[in-house]
Amino acid sequence: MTSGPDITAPGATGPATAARIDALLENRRGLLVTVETETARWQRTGAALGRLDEVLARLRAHRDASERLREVLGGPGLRDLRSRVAELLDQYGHAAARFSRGTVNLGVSGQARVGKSTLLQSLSGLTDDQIPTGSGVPVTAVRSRIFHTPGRSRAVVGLHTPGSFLAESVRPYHALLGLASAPETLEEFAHQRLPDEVDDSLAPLLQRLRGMQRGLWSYRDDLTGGEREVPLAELRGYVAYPTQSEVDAGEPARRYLAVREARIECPFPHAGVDRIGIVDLPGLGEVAADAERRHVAGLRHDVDAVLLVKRPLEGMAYFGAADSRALALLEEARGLVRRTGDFVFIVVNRGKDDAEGLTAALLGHLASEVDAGRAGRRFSVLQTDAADPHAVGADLLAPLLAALADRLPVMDGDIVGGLAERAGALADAVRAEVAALTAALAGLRGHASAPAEDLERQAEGLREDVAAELGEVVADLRAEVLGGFEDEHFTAAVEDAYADVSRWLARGLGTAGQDRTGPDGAGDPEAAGAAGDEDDAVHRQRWCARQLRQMRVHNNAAPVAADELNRIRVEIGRRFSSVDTYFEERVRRLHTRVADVLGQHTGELLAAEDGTVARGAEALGRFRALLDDGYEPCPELSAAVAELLALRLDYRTQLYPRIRAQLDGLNLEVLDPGEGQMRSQIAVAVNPAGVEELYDFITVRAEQAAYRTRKALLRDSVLPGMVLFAAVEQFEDALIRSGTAGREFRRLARTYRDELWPGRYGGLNSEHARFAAVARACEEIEVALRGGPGPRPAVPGPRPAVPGARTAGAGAAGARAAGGAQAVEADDTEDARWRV
Amino acid sequence: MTEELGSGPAGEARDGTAVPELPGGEAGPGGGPVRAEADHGGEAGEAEPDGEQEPAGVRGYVMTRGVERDKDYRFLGAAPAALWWSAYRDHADTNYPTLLVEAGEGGWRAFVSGIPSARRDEVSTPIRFTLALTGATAAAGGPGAPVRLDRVVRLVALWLEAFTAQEGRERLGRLLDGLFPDEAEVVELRRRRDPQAARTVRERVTALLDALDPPPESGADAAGGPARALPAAWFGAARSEQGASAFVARVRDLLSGEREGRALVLNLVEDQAEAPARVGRESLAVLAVDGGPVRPQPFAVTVPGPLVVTPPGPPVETVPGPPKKFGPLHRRALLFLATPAGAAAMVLAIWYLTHRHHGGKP
Amino acid sequence: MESVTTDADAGPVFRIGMLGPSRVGKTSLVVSLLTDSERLLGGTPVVLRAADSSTRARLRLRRQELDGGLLAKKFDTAVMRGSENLTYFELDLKAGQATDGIRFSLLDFPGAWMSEHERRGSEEVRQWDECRDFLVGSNILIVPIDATVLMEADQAAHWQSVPAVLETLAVQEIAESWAGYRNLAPDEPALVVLAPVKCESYFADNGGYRDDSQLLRERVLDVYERTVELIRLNAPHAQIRYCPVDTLGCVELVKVEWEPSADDPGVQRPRGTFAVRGKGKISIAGADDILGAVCSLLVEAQRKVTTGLAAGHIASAQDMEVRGRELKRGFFRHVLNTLNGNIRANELERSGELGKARALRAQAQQLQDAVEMIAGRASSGRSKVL
Repeated sequence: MTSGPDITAPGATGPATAARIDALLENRRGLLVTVETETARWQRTGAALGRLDEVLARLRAHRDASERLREVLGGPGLRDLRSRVAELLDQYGHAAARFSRGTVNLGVSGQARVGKSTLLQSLSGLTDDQIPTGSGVPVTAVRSRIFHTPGRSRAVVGLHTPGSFLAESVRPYHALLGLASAPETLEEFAHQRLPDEVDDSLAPLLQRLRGMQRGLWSYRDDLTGGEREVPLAELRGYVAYPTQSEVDAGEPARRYLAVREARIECPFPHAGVDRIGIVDLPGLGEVAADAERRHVAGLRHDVDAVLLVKRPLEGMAYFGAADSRALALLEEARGLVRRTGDFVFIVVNRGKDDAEGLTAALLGHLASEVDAGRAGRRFSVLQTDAADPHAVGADLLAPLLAALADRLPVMDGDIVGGLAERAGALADAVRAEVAALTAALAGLRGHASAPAEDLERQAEGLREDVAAELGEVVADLRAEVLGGFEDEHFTAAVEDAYADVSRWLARGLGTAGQDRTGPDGAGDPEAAGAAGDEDDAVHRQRWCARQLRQMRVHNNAAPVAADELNRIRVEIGRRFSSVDTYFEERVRRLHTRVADVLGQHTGELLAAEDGTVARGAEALGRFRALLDDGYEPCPELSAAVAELLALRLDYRTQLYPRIRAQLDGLNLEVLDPGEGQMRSQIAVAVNPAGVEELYDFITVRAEQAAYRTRKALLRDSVLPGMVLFAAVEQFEDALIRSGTAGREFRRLARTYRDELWPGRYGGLNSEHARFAAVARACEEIEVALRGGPGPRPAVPGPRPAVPGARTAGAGAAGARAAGGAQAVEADDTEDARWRV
Repeated sequence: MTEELGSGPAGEARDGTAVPELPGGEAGPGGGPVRAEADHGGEAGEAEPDGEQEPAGVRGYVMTRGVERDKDYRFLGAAPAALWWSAYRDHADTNYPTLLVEAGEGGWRAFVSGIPSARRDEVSTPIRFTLALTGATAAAGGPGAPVRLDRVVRLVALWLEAFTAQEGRERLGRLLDGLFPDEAEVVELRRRRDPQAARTVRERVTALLDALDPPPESGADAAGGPARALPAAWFGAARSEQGASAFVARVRDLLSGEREGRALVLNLVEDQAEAPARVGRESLAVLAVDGGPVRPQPFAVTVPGPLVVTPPGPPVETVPGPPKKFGPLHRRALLFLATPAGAAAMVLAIWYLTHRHHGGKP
Repeated sequence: MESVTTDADAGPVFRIGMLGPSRVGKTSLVVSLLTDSERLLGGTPVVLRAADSSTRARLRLRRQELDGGLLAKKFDTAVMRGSENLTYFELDLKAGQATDGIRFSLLDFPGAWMSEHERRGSEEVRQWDECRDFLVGSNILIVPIDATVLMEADQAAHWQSVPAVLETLAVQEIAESWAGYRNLAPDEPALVVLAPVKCESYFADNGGYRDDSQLLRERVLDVYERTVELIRLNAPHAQIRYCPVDTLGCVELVKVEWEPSADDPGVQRPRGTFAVRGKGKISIAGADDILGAVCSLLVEAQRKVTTGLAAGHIASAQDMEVRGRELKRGFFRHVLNTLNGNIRANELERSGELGKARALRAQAQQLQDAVEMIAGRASSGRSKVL
């Protein structure tokens, strides 16, 4: 709780006003939706414009692009549009910030000595200890936001990092002073030699900079970034300039320099202020112009109205040049709000002791200078005694909030309407630019049309060549499958896994090395290797000793037996998954072989920009992207390639379900087929002989399970070949013989004729993919502007349901497949796999 | 017993291997030294070059198998010319420990089976060794012979030990494993049938004998006393010390030429009635692996059987030379046999005549 | 060679040949069949015994070995030692108290003799000839087949080795000769039993957990297809049966390793490791099917012979009767023949023949009953007539 004056101002702000403010804040959420939709639309549009820029650059960069083409495509309009889009997005961002705020924020601004701090105190109930007042010198150095928070009093300061401090606080001074090099580190700043003398007008700036440099010791440690919660009692040290007496006493501490802003939460001594925030805006006219502008930029986000405080004091009772400048800045901050008077309120702080005459003079001057001769024409002028909280509540808050309740929706509407207007204009500009570009390209297309007949012949030839070679691949795999050809690599992979399991078992049932590396070391090859010098018999002894202890703990062998069998079962299953390496290799080889076939006949098509040639799956992926990106897309061919790329062979999903049953014997209890009941396979005595017996039993069972697993895998040795055969046969079928294959090959030929047959045709074909890309980027822009779907529209034309097509392909794989094939229930649909 | 041998479906076939060489020749003392023996199993080139000195008068053959499934039991290098022990197929199953010693006419032969090797075959069954040995008796042999013959006696004693103690056959097996340590060599010798391979195996057998300690003289004397008191034909139990020592003493007598006849350890014989018939007045000592009296018992009856099942064998590897003549012992046996045979022939003739008479009518 | 030797007293002697390569488990099967016959033939009046003391002793030796091997609790494929030489088992099958025993011999031999390259020495050639004659001339041919070889072959190299390991060509050659020989005597019993052994791991009906019996059958028929064809072609009347056997029942295959043969290039030989299942109590399965088939075939043959003999006796009784009438034709002849006792002798002879015929018929009936009882016995369900 604050220790400030306990003031309540009943009736100052009516409950009706508070309710209206609540309602309008709620309504703002609705506006937020619009703003967000628009933001997304323009983000997409911006991205599409970026892509257009990019594909235009690629088209320009093409070897065969003519001078004229480069000229046409080189226009600067696009860049301008992109910056305008960025600007618009910025404004939408501010609007979104405004509409998503949960409070109505009042900015309080004014030059030194006008009683701004006093007013803040009256509004917030804070005292001198937190918000210092002073006469004649500026006291608050940091922008503070104060929120009404019943039942809590605290402050949170946001601190600079060294980087942000240097960038935001130090560099502007350097810039204004025209100093050559701004410091990059605090150390540099600390030892920087500042000029002794500057132009008189800049002297105060230099003075401040020196102060910052000298005071570095006091705030250096606070440059930590992030936020820090500070008791209100200590807040002053963070936000206030040093007092004159401190300055006189020597080099004062300047911790405020480390603070970006402060957020203060405390209960306001006024009614109906639940959703009011007050933003202290220091520095108008205090800091350099850049700093002022920065403050104003902050206003846009943060405040719904600004109170510009004036005080009718001697020498200040008029609206001077500084006031005009401040007002101009506030005008800028108003943004899209149409009426300045809605945004800026002039507060005349007339203290009890102030001279009436000066007040009248000020009001008169205001009316003539600011309100174009008639008071209240442009601005509302509110008079109050800032030092009197009651007066502030009645004279200032009540009318202010009532006015805001009326005018805030209007202001919000102004903003939304203004943004919509700007967006409409920008959309028109973008459309015009795209239309111009499309027209220019259309004009160019006439120039380069391919000799159609020759191209068709070439396309047909390409198809035949690819067909012939893919046919060989298919034939090889068919021979492998139908001839019962045994894949010795598969056999070797299985045998290796089996040997690995056998070794593992022999070494104390896989516990070798455990003593060193803990229970997880069982599978650690290094540990196993280190333990390799020891005899298997030693491991056996160790196992027996360890398990005997366990058995004695339980006074029963069954838990040990069950645990060990479970452990070993899981490990054996896991170890056999090493055959996946082989599977990956097989799929990789197939991809490579198919990609090589394609690569051989497609000229430079699969070569990257830098001339490197991709292989295997990468090449197929590239091929697929090219098929999709063509001016005339080839959906069938693309789908065929995609399908081949999605081919997976793996132990866990395909083989494991088939061999899992082989591990069933590795359980303490097994189903007795005779009695139809579970029965324990072994019971041993809890003694050394018993544990030895258990070891032998587990070893035998584990060896048997490993052997059976190996056998089941080998029985399926034809399976990998079958899956590959089915896949490549389906690929070949789809690529060569599908209904649209011929057409799509011709499309491919037209689209990429210069890459497929480099040098055969002169000039860039208008159907070239790079043209297509430009056209598509233009389409994307239009779609984005219409608020259409995401940045990358779907390829036109239906894409076949991939999993379905695969299943069909696998079904056609061969008569042999049918016998052993079993449908495995699909549960991982996200990644369609070959099912056998 | 007799019907089993003479009749039955496989009779003819079995007779083919059961035909023993008739004891013969006056190859007694002064008869041809055993070194003149030659295998004549029919394999070309098996005959040893003349003048090749037989190592110390004992010719040995070894049968074993390889580890692989199809490398079944087979003699290594060379096989004895006759599988004379197959005549005992109804009395002994040579797949199981069997020991047969026959002596006569200055020669002797022995068959020793069921010596366990430490090797195991492909299906992990323990592999065995079987030995077949022949030689001249001490009386007929050269100067070195008695020493070697002592070792043969020792071998018999060791082999028999297995029935009463743990050691014995295992020790023989270890020795043989040491002599044939290399599986590849075993497989190779198994395959070969040539003099070189035959000589290699014989040398190993000689080495085996040399590796055995000489039999304790005192033991022989101790055993000799009561053993010599036994009749020429007796029946005992292999599992009894008495039987074993008497048997060893008998083998010594046979090998030295003091006796002619047979000493047999048979595993299909449980009582005397099942034992092979004694032929004539031969010495016959039989130990039953299962059963048999603890104290060797004289044969109750000398069966004046009409059949010669297994006459005491001389070395079957007959010495090339003049045909052997019947010795006095055998002449008497023959006479013994001829009488009932003649009577039977008479009966047959009468029966034939009467039946031919009746045969005219249906 | 005559397969059914008719002995004046003992009646016919049948032959059973075991035709399988070395270490396939011929001996184990023989021992299972013969020492467990009481249980296997339980519920039938058929009794199988060793016909002589040496066979009894032989069986005892083997049984001891089998039991000893199982007591060890941990053993590999075979508990039975390999054979060094020919082994005959002489057996006696009695199918009723009043019937004569049926004699049969069963031959076991070192299986390696089946492979030609293993028969180089004269000793093997001679013994193999004996063996082969026996096999070709036998009435019943049992072909033990190592089931693990067929079931555990899972690579091309394994399959290429199967013929060498199972000696399928030798089996085929002998089966063909056998069938040709059988065709010469179509009235005699003829049976071939394809008997996969060591089937414990492939059936779920005898303590096992997995049922691969269908696959086993397919593989056996696949590998022996030509053999079966040749038998059908050459001896259409011969019965062919498929009888898988758990030789021990209480073991289970752990693993099989195939190792390249030392001197047989390209051939890999399987080496199996077995573990005792449960308490290690022997539980032979499927052997009763073989024994049942063998017994019913033999008993049926015996019945035929007995019926034939009875018919012979009746025929001669009828002859006697005719002769009796002849002896009484005319007074003088009647008186003379009465005086010299011819009539009485003839009458005695006739009634003797009739008595024999009656006894034989009774025997035949008993045999008939026995056959029916064997046939009616619940089968394991494993065996199939091919």
